Amino acid sequence: MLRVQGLTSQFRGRAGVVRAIDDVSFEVPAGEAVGIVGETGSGKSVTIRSILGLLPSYGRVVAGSAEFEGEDLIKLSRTRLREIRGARIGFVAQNPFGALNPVLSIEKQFRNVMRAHRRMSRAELHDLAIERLTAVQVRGPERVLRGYAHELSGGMAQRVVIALAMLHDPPLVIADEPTTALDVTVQRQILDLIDSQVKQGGRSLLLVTHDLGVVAQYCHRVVVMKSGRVVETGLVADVFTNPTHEYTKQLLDAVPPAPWAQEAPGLTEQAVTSR
Amino acid sequence: MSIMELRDVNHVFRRGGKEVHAVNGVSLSVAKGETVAVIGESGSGKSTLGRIALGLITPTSGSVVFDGIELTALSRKQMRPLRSRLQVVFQEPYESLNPRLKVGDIIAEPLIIHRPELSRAERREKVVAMLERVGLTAEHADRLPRNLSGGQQQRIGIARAIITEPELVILDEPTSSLDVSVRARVLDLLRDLQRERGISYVFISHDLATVGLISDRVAVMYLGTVVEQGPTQEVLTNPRHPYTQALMSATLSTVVGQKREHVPLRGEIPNPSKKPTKCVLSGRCPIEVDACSSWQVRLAQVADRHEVACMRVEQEQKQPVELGGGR
Repeated sequence: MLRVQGLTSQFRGRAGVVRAIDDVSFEVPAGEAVGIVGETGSGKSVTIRSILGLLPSYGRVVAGSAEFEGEDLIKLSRTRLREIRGARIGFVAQNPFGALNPVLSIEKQFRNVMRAHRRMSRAELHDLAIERLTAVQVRGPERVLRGYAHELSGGMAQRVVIALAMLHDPPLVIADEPTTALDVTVQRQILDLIDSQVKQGGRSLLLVTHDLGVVAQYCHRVVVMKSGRVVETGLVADVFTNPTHEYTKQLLDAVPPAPWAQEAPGLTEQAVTSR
Repeated sequence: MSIMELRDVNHVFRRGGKEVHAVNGVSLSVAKGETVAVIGESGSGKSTLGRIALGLITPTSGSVVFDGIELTALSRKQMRPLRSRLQVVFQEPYESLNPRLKVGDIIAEPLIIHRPELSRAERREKVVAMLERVGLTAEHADRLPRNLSGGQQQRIGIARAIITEPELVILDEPTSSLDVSVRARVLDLLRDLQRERGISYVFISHDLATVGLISDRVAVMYLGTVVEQGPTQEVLTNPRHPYTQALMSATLSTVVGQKREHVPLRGEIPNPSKKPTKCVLSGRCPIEVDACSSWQVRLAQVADRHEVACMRVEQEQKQPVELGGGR
């Protein structure tokens, strides 16, 4: 579905040119969910922004390719890339309030996203928007459509973003830390929602996260990144149970077990020194 | 012997005619050398509670006793000598450090205020010793905070808090903004310091997994109310309140295939503008029955020192046979 090879991007800054990602390669097979995991500065966000042509003005891709449906996204013109983004690749960002326009009604934003790729009458679009909002479990979709982003809770806003990202039924969905800005009890609802939306449509998912638990529970494959490079990649079942790279081991060891899986919570010293 | 005792603390913020009931009837005690975790999501009132414990906010009602002294009765001036004994570490290390001061001056500042008798050389000596204690070196004293990593910045926040040798430190999400690999080492440092110096901690967090590693006791807050509290081990292995169960199940394991059944809550945290007159989880709770809406929230004991504020649990406790359905 998506094949990234040797992707290398640089940023120009006061200190000269910095290589943000270096020789990044991985694949997202059709119908699978792939997680890119890494800590701050590992290059996981730069990777997807390079793929989507969304790097800031001082950054650029200097080498590599990202093959999607027979085209190299890196070589495409801005116009062609814009045709693909939204229509063939859905994008869910970390902060739903950054993704939604604060001064346009939600309905207007559905209209804009639709019109970017397809013609549809207002009445038809209205019905479709209601249907899609209902599918992502937005309560009172009529009221939400008339309203604005600031009237929504974080979880509801992210549901709206997901509905917009899925509006054109893209075969590939890219999500950048989609639950990091949300409250703990809402996070899992949103992950379950993305998971079901992706599975129902037979789509592929590329999910960027710093949370190894999210990868363990929602992804087939994992790409572990550190300092702009891929250190390990493979099936989650293999990598998480038998990490070959020292860094992957360290990362997995650093995460405390889920509270319900801690053998003796509260017995702090044993818990830590045994690692 | 407890170092801090909160009794029936309530706090209402009033702004522009609107009320926010941030803390409702919370009682909490912290023993010497103990770590009590306060768990909750954003809007649960956990940070407000921390500020009340620090004497930064005077609660609307209730009592806050630190080492036998009622803080709510003190003026700012009377409060000042206590500040060296009662310190805080904030979530965002960089935001809480003065960007224009060198690291050495940041750590020395509390000494200038609380230990004016120290000479410049003595102060420097203490600062260097403290830097080394938190895993940095004397060279870091001349750097600016922005030239350090997040983990190093948080070590400076910790050094600044403990240089006055406080008896109680409020840790407000001290590791939440740090990467996992850094987080574990900062927790280790906090634990070592506690063991050496017998400091008590109030550890404010939204992350039950971290709390399991560091705390002796835990209080779970929701909408300004403590819904469950008890020894950490007991609460985490046998959570009884549906909200605690939901929080627990929301943490994903990194072990593939190791899943916990999701206890979903409906919707999201409501606006805390009204004082709750019924169970705080009402409307979101998976085991709610009609009677819950007229139930006055109260903690009831379910096991040794383990208390839960849920009508269903309370009833189950009294007559275990009748209630098969719940969960």
